[in-house]
Amino acid sequence: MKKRRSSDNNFETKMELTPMIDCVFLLIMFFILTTQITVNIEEVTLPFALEGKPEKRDNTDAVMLIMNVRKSQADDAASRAGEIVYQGKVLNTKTLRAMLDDEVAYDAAPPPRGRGRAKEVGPNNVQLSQLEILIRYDKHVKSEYLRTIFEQCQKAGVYKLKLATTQP
Amino acid sequence: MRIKQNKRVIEESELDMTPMIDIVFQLLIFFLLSAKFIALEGQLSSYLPKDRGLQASFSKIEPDEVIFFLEWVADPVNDKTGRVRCQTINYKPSPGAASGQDHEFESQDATVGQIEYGPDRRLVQYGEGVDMPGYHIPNFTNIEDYLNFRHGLYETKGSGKSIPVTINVSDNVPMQMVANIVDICTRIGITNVTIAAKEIPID
Repeated sequence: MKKRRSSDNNFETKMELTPMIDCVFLLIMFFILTTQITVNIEEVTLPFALEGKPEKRDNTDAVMLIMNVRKSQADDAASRAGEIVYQGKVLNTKTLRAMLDDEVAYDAAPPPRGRGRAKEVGPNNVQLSQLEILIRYDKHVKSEYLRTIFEQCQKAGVYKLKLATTQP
Repeated sequence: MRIKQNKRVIEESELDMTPMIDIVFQLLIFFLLSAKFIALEGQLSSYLPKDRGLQASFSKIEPDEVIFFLEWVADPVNDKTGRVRCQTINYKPSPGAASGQDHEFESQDATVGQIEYGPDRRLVQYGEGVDMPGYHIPNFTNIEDYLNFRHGLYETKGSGKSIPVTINVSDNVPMQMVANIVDICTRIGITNVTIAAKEIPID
């Protein structure tokens, strides 16, 4: 009897935790990476352009905000209405301007609060931000939102804009 | 003695590969996910005018400026389809040219036009049946030829600057058309491209 019990006890080994932790870390990393991508980049069909250059990485200081203009999901697909989406949120003209002002202020604020990059001074002492904005515009959507983005960017002092394209 | 030999055999066990493979897979997934997406896209860079003070006033129309008017003409029966009307208007032609020269580019069915490349990778026609259903789009080959011609005329004057091009696009025109014209300008080497802030009626 006694012997049997001790052999029983031997079978109750400790559970191995290492593979489980490995798996959990893997899942965490996977979801962190995939959600970051989906937050900034919406599914849009980009316009064709043969001359679109691949993104240059020589200026590592550049901070680029990604703004999407996708098909409006409220309307039916054929109406070609669109909406401006930034980090998963739909913006109208007013909130777009507020967002741009926030980002410009954050970019110019000193390091503990922001990035601390000096503003450039243009003609007429206009303060210009170093921010870059990548516009990912759905090619089927009406072009009226382009004008809105240009106008608001100019008012906020952001002048470096890029239009995302794809090769046909 | 027997026990000792047993121990030695255990010490010379094989290297355990499993953790290394785990880590390698993890690194593989990390780099796949982080490096994939943005490299596929091209970018057309542009700079807005740095001087915000000027934007409230009308900009002067320069002589030789090429102004594109892009209009969406909806089909009367089915308003989901239509055509993009493209014309250039020359308000102030250079001396010697015909005044008020007006150039309309004929539009054609986008389902007919296919993407082809000429020998020098020049654009022949954009548009594909699947991509642009029911659109009639202007013939971009003609537009490119016309812009090339005007650009050449302007360069012979030797001002050293790029010919000004303004794109006056009405709200309903699909974005692809704007991208096409910007693309053509980039290819020709025209850097002075403006998007009109407010529509000027044509007639």
